[in-house]
Amino acid sequence: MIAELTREFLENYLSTDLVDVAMPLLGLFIVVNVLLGSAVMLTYAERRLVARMQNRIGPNRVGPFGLLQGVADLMKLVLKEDLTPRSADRLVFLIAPILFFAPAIALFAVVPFFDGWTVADLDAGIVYVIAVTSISSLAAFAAGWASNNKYSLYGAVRGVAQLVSYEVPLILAVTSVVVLAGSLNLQEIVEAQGIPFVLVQPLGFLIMLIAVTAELNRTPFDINEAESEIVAGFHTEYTGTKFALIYGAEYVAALGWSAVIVTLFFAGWKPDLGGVIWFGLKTSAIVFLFFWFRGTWPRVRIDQMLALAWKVLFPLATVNILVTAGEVLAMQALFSLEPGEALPTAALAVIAVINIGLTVVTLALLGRVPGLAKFDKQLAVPAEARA
Amino acid sequence: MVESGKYWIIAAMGVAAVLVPLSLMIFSGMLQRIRIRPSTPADQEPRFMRMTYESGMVPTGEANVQFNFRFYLFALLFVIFDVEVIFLLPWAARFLSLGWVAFIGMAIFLILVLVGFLYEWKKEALEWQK
Repeated sequence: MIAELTREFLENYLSTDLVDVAMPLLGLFIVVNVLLGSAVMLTYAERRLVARMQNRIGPNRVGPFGLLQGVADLMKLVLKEDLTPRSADRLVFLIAPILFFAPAIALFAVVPFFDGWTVADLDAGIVYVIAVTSISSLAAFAAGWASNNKYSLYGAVRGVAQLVSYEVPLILAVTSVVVLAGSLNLQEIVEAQGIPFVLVQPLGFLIMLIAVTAELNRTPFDINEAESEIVAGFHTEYTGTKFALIYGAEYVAALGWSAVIVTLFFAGWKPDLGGVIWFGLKTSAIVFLFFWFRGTWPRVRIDQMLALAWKVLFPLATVNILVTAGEVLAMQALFSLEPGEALPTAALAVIAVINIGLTVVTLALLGRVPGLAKFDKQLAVPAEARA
Repeated sequence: MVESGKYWIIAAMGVAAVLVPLSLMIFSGMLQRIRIRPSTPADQEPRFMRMTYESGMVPTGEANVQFNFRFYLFALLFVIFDVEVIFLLPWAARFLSLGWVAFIGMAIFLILVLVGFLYEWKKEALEWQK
């Protein structure tokens, strides 16, 4: 409704062709600004929430309840002297933070904020999301390599191994949603959710959540910037504005992935309760989940982490796709649907009941699989201690 | 739905996404010009100012060294399964109208991939420490 009012207002001053160009640009402008604002506030929110979980108070001096802490931090960082190590590759060192920040923002081009409105309603929206987010692993490696610092390089190499490993289960989990929705368009996936896909695809959701936590380099998978062993990982050498960009990009990316999770598994803007508020609340809840993980779990080792991706998540996600596809075929037979017809809510409900049962059984049996039991025992003894 | 010829908004988003961090860096650089942000002239730099951090010591040797092969192996694995995904996505997007034949075809493909995967597992390509 606001969009239509704005459109009418603009048409008083501009020709129709120009309004067609101006409207998406206006949307883009609003989205980017809201994102930057939220990233600054999220840095404050995380410090405050994690402090609460650790029985501390957290930043409470700058502004009411410390609300302006993020702004103060940003000002401080921008005013700091710009330091580039003498032995660093200057050009790559300069480009890496930009390359790290840009995909996080570009991701929001396809996120459906409310009914019928995205910046660009791409038909291959999911593919765009996957393509754009995989750039950040490149940027992390560029940053680590260009610094010419051993800690940075180690963090960068770990980061690439982690990001590419978790990308596979992540895409497979998304694929099982695509099978149900019958579309790669995020807006259509939201519309296909008669009941939220988190109930229809509980296993897919768990895999996606774990994989996204790893993609975001957040605890418990933050080994590529593990401060207790490799200083700050790939951004050890970054200071001032460049550090602010890398730090901010992590929060924008967290917001972006949360928005994608909400779109795929929590029915996006549905039910439509007044614009973007409902979508924003759900996204915030997922972001809070990531903060909560950080307050709860210790960091895992790299071999444990890669083993989790390849030996547990990847086979589960692959089987999950086949099971989902089989269920879709069964529902088509049961409800005698035409080929290509979207699944009715009743069919989704039946699949949900089956899948919740299957997920509970799978999670219960996971510890008893012979190969995984061996994997468990290996984990009990640290690699260094055995060597 | 984006009509063809309206993909420019994606390009615009890309430009905006690059401009935001770039403008922050340029802004910070301008602050240095008007001497709000400090900068040390090259001839007055303390000796260790632009050295890389190595626990407070003078760094020994270069960081661009030959690296552990194990990471490379996981990258190879990733390429194989990423190609698999390219095959999966179009199938998934049109699965509702494809029916049994497509299901059986994809099942055979995925089982082949999984057999290869189990072979890798058996050969301990997935083990961190052999």
